[in-house]
Amino acid sequence: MTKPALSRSLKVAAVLLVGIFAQVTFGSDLRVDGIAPDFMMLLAVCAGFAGGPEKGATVGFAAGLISDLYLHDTPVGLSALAACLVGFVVGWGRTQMLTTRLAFAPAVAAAGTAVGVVIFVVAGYIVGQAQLIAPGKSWLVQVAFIEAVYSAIFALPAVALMSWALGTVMPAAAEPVPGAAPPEVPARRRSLAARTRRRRRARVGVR
Amino acid sequence: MAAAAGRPRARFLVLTLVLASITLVTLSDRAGTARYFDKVRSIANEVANPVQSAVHSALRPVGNFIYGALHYGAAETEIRKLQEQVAALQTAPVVAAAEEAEAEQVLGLAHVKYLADIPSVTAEVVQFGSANFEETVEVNRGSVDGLAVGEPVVSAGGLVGSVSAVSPHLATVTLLDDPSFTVGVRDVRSGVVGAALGQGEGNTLEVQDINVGARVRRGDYMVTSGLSLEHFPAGIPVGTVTSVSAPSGALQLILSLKPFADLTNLQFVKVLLWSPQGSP
Repeated sequence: MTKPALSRSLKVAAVLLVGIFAQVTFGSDLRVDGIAPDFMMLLAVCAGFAGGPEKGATVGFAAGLISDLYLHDTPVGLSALAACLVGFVVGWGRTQMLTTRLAFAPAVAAAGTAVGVVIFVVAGYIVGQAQLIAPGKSWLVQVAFIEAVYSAIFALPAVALMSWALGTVMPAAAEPVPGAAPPEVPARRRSLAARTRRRRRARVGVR
Repeated sequence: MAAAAGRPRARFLVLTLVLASITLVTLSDRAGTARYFDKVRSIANEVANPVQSAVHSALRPVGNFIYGALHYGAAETEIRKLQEQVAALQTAPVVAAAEEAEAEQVLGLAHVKYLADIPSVTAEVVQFGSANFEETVEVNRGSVDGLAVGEPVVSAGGLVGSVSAVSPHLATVTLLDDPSFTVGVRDVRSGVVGAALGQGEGNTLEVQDINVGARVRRGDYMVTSGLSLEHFPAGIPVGTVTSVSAPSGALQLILSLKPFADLTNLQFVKVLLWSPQGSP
């Protein structure tokens, strides 16, 4: 492993540790209507948003696995599966976007978290965790909605943390993801830039 | 080109990770290997415990200050109420004796003794679970205090849950309202036996396996049945029947049971050092 890669891995591990300690220390204190935020799912979504599909899947898997260690009713690996898939899907979605803006982060975090909750419950039910659906569909919708709102609230600092850990440029800079199509500049902005260049040339006497 | 090269690699990676997750899920659920995962979980809880305690200790004064500032009016009312309660406590011993007698009378109907001769360990609830699909609390006693998985946990009100994981200095208690929780119950008045299932936080328990025609009424008390192979001793108060319904054509009644114990406000609980194998 190269030195920058090792440094990135250590930073990601540190961010995940902060996430899990936040979850187990005051996650339960933030309950709304009995539902707590899921910081680890949020970090998985942010890894996909900030780093693309590969990093999203890898960091999501690690985040879910750590999360599994603090659950008791469900088997180890279930959260890892859900978070890995969500990280990958969000990362893949990002590569399909023409531009990525930080302003999208709350919406992406909310949608990604809601999808993660559904994957967790459905996958759990498939492997025999019937208790996950025992409280009914309305409870599942409620959990997905409140967790999504929480993720939207905490999305910006989480994306910033994950971008720092992964060593990626903040999405606000509209840096293209490797492999994605180059960001398109709107026509109005192109004409403004051209006019500015013409004025500068005129000022310095360049013809 | 980079995209074309990157996508198969990403797909291969995610496929590998999904397979790894499924393998872990399978191993974690298998009887032979589950204990290794339990051990890792127990170590993880032990590691987080000092941080949890430190953060709670550090944040509690701040939280109390903010709460006090925001609820000043309510706090004043509370103080007045407490003063009235202190005055009322002069007569408390008499009332308590009466209630105790009443409780004994209720349990006497079921021919059981509440926690008679069962050794117990008192534990403080140090953490409420932060997961949304399981109802658990952590208590500050563990295997060094004699706790083991499966032991019943009670509070002053009645049954709270059972121990689901133990590390040397901590234990996780799965609460009565957890959707995976099941306990055999008996109606104190009629003696009818059924199974109560948790339905998630804040919901009443659902009692099953009671035939239509059984003489169970709204307001009846239910205690643990203590039948053979049950995980709880007989006679622990569980809850009050809040509704009884018999859908047309159904063979069994649908009962709702409101737990006696206040599961949202637990501070101290008693872990009964009892196991079905060790019971008489």
